[in-house]
Amino acid sequence: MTPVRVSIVGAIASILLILVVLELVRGRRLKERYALLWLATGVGLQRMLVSPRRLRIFNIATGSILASSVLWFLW
Amino acid sequence: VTRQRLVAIVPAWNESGAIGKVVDEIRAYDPAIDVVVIDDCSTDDTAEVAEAHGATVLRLPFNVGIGGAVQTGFRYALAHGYQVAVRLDGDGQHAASEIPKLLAPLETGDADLVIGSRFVDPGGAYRPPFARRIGIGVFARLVSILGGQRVTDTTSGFVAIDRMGIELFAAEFPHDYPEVEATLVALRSGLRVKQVQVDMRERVTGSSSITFVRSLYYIVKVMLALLVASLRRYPRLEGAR
Repeated sequence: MTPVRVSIVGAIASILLILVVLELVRGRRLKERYALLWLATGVGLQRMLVSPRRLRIFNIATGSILASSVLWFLW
Repeated sequence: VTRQRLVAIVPAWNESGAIGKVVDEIRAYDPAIDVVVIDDCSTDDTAEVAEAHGATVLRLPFNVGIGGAVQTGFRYALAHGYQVAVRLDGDGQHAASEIPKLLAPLETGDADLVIGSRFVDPGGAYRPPFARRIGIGVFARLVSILGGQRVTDTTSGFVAIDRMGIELFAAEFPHDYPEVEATLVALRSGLRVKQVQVDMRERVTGSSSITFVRSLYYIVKVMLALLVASLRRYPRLEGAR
């Protein structure tokens, strides 16, 4: 089970990622085409934080042991 | 009243099989229209064919995509002082005989941007496949909500604009799959947008740039572009009239 504090930090970080990407697109510093991948990452992180079960499935599928290393890998 | 100078902007990429007929048709309809073909770095002889048929050809040194090609046309129109521009595709799906319908609301001063829509008239001939119909409908509804005016066909590449529209799009035009976002930008900038019913033909040669795999990217990209466009601020252009 992911500790609560890790979840909170992860949630803030991934929301920040999404907001920063949207702002970059708005300011025409990042094209939509490339923003989509970053947004998909941000949304994916969010979903794993909301449901650790999804994260565990991902862990098993990729053979990783530490949940946090998967998060960093995604990032 | 002097006749307004009119330019036809035709983006083309590897359309050597269709472009000659497109140029001929526009010139036959009205010899006073200047036809400008923007050759988006074709690998075939699109530019030569267009030139042989009497068009002015702008050759892009790199393939910049449809948005950049069309914007090049608007910049040309801006630089050369055209009052009205018609944009139609280089594959022959837009009939030159429909151009007067697009120009009418501009000439009476009732609109700044006229969209040739396939869906104004519910009895129109064009029946897209199911998935495409849903996509077109979703885009139309989104743009209608975000832009504050009901539009029925935001994916149409058959449009006419006045000088104000030329100025707007010369400065600001989306990069790829531009039509939907451009419609929203026009509405949010205060252009008066009108739609007229047109029929479009099946392409003569070549294939649509929208393959099945790309359609997913198309949908998501346009959704994001619409979201971002509604977060941006656009100067209102009414004062320019």
